[in-house]
Amino acid sequence: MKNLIKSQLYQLRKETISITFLIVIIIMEFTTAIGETSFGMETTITADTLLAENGHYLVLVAMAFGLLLTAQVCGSDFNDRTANYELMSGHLRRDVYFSKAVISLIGGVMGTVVAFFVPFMFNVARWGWGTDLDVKGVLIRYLLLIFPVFRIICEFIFLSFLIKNSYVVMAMGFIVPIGLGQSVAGYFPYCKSVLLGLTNIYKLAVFPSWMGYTVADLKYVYVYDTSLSLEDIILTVVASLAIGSFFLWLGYQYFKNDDMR
Amino acid sequence: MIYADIFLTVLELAFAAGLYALAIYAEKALNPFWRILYAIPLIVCGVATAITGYEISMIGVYIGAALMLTGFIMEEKRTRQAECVMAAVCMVLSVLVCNVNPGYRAPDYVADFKRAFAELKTHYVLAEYKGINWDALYEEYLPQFKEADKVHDEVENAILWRKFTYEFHDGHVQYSTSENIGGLACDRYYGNDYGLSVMMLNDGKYVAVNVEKDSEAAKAGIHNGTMITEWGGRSVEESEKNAEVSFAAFPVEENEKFYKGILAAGVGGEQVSITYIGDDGKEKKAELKKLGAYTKRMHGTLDILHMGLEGDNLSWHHIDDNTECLRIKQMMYDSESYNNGDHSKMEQEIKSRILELKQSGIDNLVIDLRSNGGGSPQFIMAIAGLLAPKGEHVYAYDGVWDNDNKEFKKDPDTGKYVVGEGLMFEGEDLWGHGQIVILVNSETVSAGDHLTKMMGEYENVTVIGFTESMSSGQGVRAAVLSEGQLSYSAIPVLTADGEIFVDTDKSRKSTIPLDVKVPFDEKAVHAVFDEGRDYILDYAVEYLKER
Repeated sequence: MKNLIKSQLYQLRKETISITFLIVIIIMEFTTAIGETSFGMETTITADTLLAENGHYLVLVAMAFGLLLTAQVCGSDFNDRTANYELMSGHLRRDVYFSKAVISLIGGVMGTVVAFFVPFMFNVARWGWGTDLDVKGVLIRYLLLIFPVFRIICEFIFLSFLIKNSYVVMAMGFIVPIGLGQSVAGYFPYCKSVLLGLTNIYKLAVFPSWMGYTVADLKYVYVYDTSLSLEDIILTVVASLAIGSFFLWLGYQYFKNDDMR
Repeated sequence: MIYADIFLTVLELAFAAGLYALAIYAEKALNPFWRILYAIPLIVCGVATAITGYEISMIGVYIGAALMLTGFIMEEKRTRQAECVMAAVCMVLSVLVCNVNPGYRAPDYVADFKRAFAELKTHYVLAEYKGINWDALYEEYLPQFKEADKVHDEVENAILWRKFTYEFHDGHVQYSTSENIGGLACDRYYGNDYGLSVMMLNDGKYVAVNVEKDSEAAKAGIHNGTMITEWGGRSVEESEKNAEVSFAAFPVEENEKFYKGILAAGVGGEQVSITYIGDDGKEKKAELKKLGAYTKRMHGTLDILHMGLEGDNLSWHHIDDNTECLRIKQMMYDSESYNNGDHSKMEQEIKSRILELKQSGIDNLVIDLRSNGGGSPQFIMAIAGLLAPKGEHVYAYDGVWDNDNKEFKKDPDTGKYVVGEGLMFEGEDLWGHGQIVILVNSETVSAGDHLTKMMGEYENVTVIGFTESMSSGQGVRAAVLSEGQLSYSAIPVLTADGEIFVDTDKSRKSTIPLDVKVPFDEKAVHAVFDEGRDYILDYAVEYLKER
């Protein structure tokens, strides 16, 4: 299995597609993170305002990189049928499956973190943190986001082995977080269930808030609640690990008996 | 059952049927794709549950979906078919459970109360000013909400919220729920209709009002203005103590007194005995049978009392040769101006009309703010600016937001809110030549209170009504609960010295007193309930003529 992981890493280094994805995603993140510009006027957007208003979007876009990487790692060998060679060369199916899964999970989670933090830290350096959000509360929520990202990558590992076409899965990697993610927020704004990865991300990345205008000049006061109950933390971790493991197992069960062409 | 649950159950049953039929083929197929199909019911179930929420009565459907997953591991035809049958049975049982379980999809009233209470305690800006005892409220209401939750009584939940919000004596602390539940709650706590309402005259007598034609009460000779001495064998006042909930928060205690007797008329069982003074001056008794729920009659009585001039918002009404009336039902011109605060178009329209009236020799202007539900502060300034004496005027002041502590700043020495920016406007004095009368009632609230307060201080303005305006004028926000919505005062509106603008404190005395209180006497009762006249407007016109 060690050799399989090494060969996967070698393959990733040789192919430029992953780096291209990362660059594209980071550019997309930058356009949101550096502040809106219109008619030559630049708008200040402090890091906390950015997270309060667009945090979930940044996470979803960053996660797209993790999903694209997963599609690449798990699906590309099916495109050119090199997966057959791996099996014919004496490797166990279990080793082939889990080597790809481990690379996808580690690479996907790390890539998501990088894709999120590079533009975000640029924003912090440029505009500062701001005063609307409590740093500790935000940190806990964003660290916990690793869990739903993990489980969505697990789901994509399963899809990659099921569909066996990396291009289709890559397209889904874009559509699910960016298109479907926004739609879920639009159609089910109060749905914050931990049973779905996307809604779990909303639960963590969207801060409950209240607002009201002050009398004098229609100024709006926004108050965000960054706290998270212990119950929510436990549910997020348990649901993510359980559902992620379920899909990993499902994918393996499928691949184990799959009829390779 | 809700549609989403029906849809999920039917879909899962279809999966069970499909997978049952597929069992023979899937066993023989080499490609494991067919096995994957046995995992789909559970995945679909998970997604649907995430969207609609977990419900214990649906456990059969969840178990059924999980049972079908075992077909993914156990590949024998008979096993798969047995699992599909068992799954289908579980789902059908679940449908039965959903239909007999009274707690099916019932919201958690206790969790709602706890969440809303915590939010109120944190953000309600008048807690100290109104002397709110949070601990006492919590201790009193939590057990009641627990009781309502135990029996899943949504109507009782609505009643409790109404009781709870009225403890604040703040017109901006309000609970709203669906029309259906709200209506059922009213029917439960307003009691029974016996064909009449009762109200107290300003001399302390209780009289019948809004008497139903051809009812037992009417047949017994009771008509609008008939004095009622006893209700259900006790004084009207005593009977009213049995009424469960009032119909408004009544920040002003005097306003609450005005409606004395109205709730007593719903108290009683299948029939009620009342004592009244007949037209011959002798005391008589009558047994009145229940006609139905009292809600409709009581609301009807209130509608008659709260009636303002009929017409659109900002409509002009010609009263007589010397008097014109501007009806303002709400402080809103259109959604665009409400959102951007620019009321210049409305201001121009009203200005032109005022100048026309002035030219045509009209001296008296009546502004009818009865039952005005409030709206935009900029709207008020636009109106007040046209009529205020020349010079700069102050509307009100903001509080100062403390972003570190997430609350409005208070002076540690005085305990008052720190005063922020003020809202100023220029007076144009367009009606300096004549008199202005503002008509209010206890339903004139929020921005309606603000305009009354501001204009009431101008020399040529007289505020007239049966009751004072509601006196609730702080900025509002709403908390959405799983059942209903709670709104409350969350943004302080202040005077220059940091006092609360408009709202009543714990003494419940109005901060916007009437200049002329219209007496609610026998004459008023006949005019309002027999002749259908707009008594307050007539009174105001007479008042203006005398001036």
